[in-house]
Amino acid sequence: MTAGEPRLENLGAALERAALDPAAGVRLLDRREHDTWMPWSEVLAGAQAVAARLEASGLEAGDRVGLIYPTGRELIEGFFGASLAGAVPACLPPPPRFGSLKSYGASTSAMLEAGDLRMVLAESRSRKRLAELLTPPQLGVRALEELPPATDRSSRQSGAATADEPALIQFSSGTALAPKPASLSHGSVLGQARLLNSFWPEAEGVRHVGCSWLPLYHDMGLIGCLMTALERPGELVLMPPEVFAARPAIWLRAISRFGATISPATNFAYAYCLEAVREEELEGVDLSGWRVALNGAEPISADVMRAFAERFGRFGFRRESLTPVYGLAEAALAVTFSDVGRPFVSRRFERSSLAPGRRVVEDPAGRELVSVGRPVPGFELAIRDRELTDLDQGGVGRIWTRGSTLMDGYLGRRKATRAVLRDGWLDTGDLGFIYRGELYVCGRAKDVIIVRGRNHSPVEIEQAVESVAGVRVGGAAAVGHFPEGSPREQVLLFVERMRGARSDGCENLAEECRQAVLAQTGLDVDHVEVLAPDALPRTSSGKLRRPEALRRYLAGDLGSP
Amino acid sequence: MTSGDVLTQVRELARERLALTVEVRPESRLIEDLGLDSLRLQALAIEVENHYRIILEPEDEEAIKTVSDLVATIDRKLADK
Repeated sequence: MTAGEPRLENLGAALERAALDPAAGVRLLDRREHDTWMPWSEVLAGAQAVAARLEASGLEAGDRVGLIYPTGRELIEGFFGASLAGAVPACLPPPPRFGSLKSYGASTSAMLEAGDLRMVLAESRSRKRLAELLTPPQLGVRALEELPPATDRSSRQSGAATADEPALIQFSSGTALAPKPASLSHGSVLGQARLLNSFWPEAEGVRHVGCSWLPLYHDMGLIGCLMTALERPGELVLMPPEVFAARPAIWLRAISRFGATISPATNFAYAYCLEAVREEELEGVDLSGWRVALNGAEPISADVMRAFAERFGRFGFRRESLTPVYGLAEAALAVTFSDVGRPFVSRRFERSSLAPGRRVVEDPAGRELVSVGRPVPGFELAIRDRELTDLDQGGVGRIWTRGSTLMDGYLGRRKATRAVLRDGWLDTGDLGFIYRGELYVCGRAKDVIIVRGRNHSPVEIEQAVESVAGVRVGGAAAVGHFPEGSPREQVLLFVERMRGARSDGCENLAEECRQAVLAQTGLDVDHVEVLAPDALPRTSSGKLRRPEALRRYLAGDLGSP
Repeated sequence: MTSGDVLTQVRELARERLALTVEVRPESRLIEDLGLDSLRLQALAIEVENHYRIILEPEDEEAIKTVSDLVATIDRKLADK
């Protein structure tokens, strides 16, 4: 953008501007690696047609619309179509493959309710089944082609939306049991995209191309990839997440084939490539053009990044491309960035010093943590203790942030909003500290387990074992734990056996619990520990103390069966 | 192609693409016995659809609990092609 050019007020205006550039758009890559080029002008035309139909079907300006689609043309046109109709789109996860549709129906219905969604758009092939599974929104679960044809009256267009009106809803930071609809304004979405794009200016003849397999119902996929391509405007190579799950090599091949310069992923994805990409799948692949390999949304492992750089270095991948970052849906996305083009920084700290209220001490034999860098332009950080007093450098506490693209709040949830937004500052719920000017994240103050970029509530896992015979009611505690040297967060489940139950069937009981969690949540628990009744620490009012249970378990102090 | 062929191919897929080390029997349940989590179920669906050039609809998938259910569905889809 040249100096003095007016700031784009809303997503519709940004799309109209992007449509003027025939070299910018989305290149959709399918599972057979066929690509379909969709310039922004085509997205605009498709979205206008969708908008006209949505208006004819009774959708009002400001109404929230859920979109349940696999990554593809319909999702993108549906998203911008809803926006052009003056509605507020929310991308929702599609049903799991072979998984439990019952729990999917319950968690998605909870999102519909939390986001007060008035209509859901879905593929025609899955529309009917979804309509049965979901608590029906007021205007139903509809397929685009079933919507009434456009009427004569001219489209409202979101040209009317101002920068401070809601542009979209992101559910990425909530969990299945407690979905949190973060409402982001047009100004925040475009402002965040603009600040991200400022990290990779087009200089020295480089034309940046993005590449992503991240789902658009996740902030890093929607804001980090699609919105940056829209704001620039530029090209994004976009593939469905399930294609990455089946063949992660397709991601690396796409980066090479289309000359992508920027591609973000989660720590899990880098680890998964190490495990599941075969050498012969990378014949002729050249990763030397991949300048920015962002790593965010999950705890970051230095070991994984070193191993990734080493293995894929043979294909031209540059270690300094790995860029650890930190952010959350409530901030639109990024809060801190490490310096682009600098090798990632990690340091070791004495383990006992990494606790709230302590001051960190470097220790060569300590726990290795990766720096996630400094605040992005327009953002500040504060580390605060329980009394909300700011701590000095090196003090461990809750990470708070203030910035130009924070959410307006959780839609319709004043109490939940007040709990995290205070005087313009956002409580991230993460624990960390600032050391030599850079942020390190060392834990989580909130009860959330993050596996592959998806948040899980411990309660969701604990409820899955309630029906397992032999488990004491209310006697399960799930915790996330990131052991050193592990590529990802581990999920541990502690279960108390029922009073009077024998202790010799523990192995079977553990296996039954693991299967129950897998069947209901799709999560494979790393370890199930069966305990004696009353072995779990509780508060005086009987509430489970999960962090204390983990601490005792790691110290070998959690009662045996 | 007989069901026996499809079963052999599904076993091969499970071993090679999903790196499954447990024995894949016709009566094995995908989740409980083979231990496939949501990521590997996604991978299985894509591998099967790609290999046989079929599409598994949500209602097909709901009825699939075991390997033999999957094999039967693939057989039926192939016959319908």
